[in-house]
Amino acid sequence: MSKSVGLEIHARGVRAVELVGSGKKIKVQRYVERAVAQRGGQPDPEELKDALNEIFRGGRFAKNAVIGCVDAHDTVTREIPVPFKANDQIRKVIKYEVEHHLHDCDADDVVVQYVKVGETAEGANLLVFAAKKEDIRRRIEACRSGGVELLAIDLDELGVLHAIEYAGLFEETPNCVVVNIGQRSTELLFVVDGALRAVRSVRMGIDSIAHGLARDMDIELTEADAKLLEISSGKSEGDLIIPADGGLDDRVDTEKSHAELEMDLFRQKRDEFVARLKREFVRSSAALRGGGDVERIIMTGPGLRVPGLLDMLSARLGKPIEVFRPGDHFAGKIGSGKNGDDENLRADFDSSSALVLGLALKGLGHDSLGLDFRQEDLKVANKFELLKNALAVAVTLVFLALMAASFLFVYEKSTLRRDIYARIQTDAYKEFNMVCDGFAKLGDSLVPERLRVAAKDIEDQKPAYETLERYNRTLRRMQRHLEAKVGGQGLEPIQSALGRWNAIMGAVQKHHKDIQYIDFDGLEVKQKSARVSIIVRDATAAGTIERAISELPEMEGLKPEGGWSWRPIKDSQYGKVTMSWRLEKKRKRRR
Amino acid sequence: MTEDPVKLYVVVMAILVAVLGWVAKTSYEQAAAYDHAIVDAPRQARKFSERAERVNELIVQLGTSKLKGSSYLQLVDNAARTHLGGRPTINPERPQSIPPRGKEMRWKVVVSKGSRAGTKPVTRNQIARFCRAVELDSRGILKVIEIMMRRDNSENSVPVGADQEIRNERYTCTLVVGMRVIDE
Repeated sequence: MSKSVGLEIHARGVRAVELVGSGKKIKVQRYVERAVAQRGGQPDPEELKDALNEIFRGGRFAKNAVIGCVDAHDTVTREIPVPFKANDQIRKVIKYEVEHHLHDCDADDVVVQYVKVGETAEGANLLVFAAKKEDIRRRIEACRSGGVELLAIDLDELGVLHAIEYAGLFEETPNCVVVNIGQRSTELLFVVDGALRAVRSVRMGIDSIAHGLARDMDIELTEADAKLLEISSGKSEGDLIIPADGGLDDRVDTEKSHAELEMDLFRQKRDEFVARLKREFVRSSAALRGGGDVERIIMTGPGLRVPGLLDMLSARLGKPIEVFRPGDHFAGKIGSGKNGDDENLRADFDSSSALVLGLALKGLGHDSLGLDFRQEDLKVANKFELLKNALAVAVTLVFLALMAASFLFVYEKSTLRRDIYARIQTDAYKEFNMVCDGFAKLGDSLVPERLRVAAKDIEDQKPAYETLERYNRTLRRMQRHLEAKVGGQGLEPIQSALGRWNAIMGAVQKHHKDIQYIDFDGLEVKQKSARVSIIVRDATAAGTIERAISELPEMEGLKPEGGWSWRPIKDSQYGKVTMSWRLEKKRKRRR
Repeated sequence: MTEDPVKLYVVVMAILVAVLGWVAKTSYEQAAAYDHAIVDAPRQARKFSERAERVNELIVQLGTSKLKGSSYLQLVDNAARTHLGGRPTINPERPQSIPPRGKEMRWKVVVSKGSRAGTKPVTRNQIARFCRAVELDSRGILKVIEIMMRRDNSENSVPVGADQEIRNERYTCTLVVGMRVIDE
């Protein structure tokens, strides 16, 4: 889940909020406010460092998504026309355009951001903000001292705008003025048709009331601050009411008079503040060209805690006032304690958290203006930025090394194969040449010309891994051809009849002395049969011959076929016998 | 703020890893093929030698036979003239197919009597000499596969006594010479 932290460093302390979620489902994860002592109008660096360390280490705020801000009253804000509409062109010239409005620094010393607030036929009207790089750098360094790297920096007044925009108040009231009463300044943000139209930052916050008290009461500023805080917390104002009971002693009466005096002074300063704010409001409203009527004033900021200020402003400004209380729009736990919310922190959150909420929202993408004052030489240099070149080089080197290792590995295998086959091929080459020599000596009609040419082609080649395969192929063709010529390898061998013929002749020759007379009338010897026709003296002699022939090894597999009979030859004492043998048929198995 | 460069890096890294994976796969396959070839080398060499030896045997067998050209008929004819006398009738028969890719070729040699036959009946010894000549001259390529002989009845049969050899009668005969070849 996305996290973002808004961080505000003001003269009196630090305020931070952590938001989690996305889209419209964003809630407050943590909120914290830490007071820091002032030194020369700025927070004490050491205390600030400690406060940041405490927030980001102890408070478990996310350190890698922190959005900060710079004070708007230190920024030059101007509305200027430019003769372009395209942002690319505007960006090229904006710095030089704004240079005329800078009095105490060069254009190179500021970061310029702009918002297009209107377009004309000739170009565009821009609301330009120029923040000193020195101020931005100081803020970055202050955060770094506390171990925080700001991802982006916005103007404090625009942070308030983001928060109110997210809360949807501009959809309800598209023409309004946002008044943020801060410690040291008050910002007036004029919104027309739901979009920022003009900005006015007045160097006058609730601190100016404290300054007035200190000056008029001739007390230290810190003491005046404490008194104002007392009044703001609502305790003193009640005590200041003079009771009807007149039985008080002189000392009490004197105290009451003194308190009344202080209260009167406070009221006077508050009235002055309201009067001046009204003047600025009227002046700025008048200066707003083409702006719509202000329907409503949206108030926010720590100044809301000043008693009676809201009522007076409502009466003086003559416009309906709506107070933006972040607690009404952002759910979540306020405070980091086990018990969750605490009352003071909740009050601070409701009055003063709009700015930090807006900054945190910016980190979550809710930023319609898209301004960032970390530009040029102040751009974010986070770990990734610092490491990316080294990382790229390392990854590329690893990649190249692995590639090289792969190729080397394959090359070694290839070399080994080549060496092994080189030895084999040398022998194979000799053998093949010998075969080819013999092959060439065979008659032309025994070896077809194409095979002879193929063998000759191969013979001329030098040994190589691929040629071994060609040797093999050609040799296989030669073998097939020659085997076809000599009777066919793999075919069932053809049986010679000569052996069986000789055996029968021998058997008869062997017995003819026993049986006195024998003569061949006919003899047939075939692959699967044999037939002998003989002339003998009697049937007994014929039986002897039949047995002798049947027992011959050459007659294996041949069985006597049918019976035979001795038939006497006319005018002769001999007879003729014909006996046959046939290859026994293999019986088929019955299934 | 850093999402785009991070995404770009992730994409570049993914491409590099993919390329590396492909290279590794190809290398592995190539190396496996080389390994197989290396392991298989002795078997290849032995197989090659055996084949060369077999071809040499066949060359010797064919070279030492008296087959001239493709004329098996000529060899049969020569043997018949030499051993059977006259000009026996030699009829080549239609080759018979031997599945799957062989065929059997046959030549029928007929020795009969008569004025038109060109031969006269032969003795059993003549038949035996013819058969041996055919098989030896062809180095076993040709075989006499059928011997069918019948005594020539024109000659009187004289009984042979127990102390006498079987008479060498004359026979008319049909001899079939055959061989099996691979159908190229």
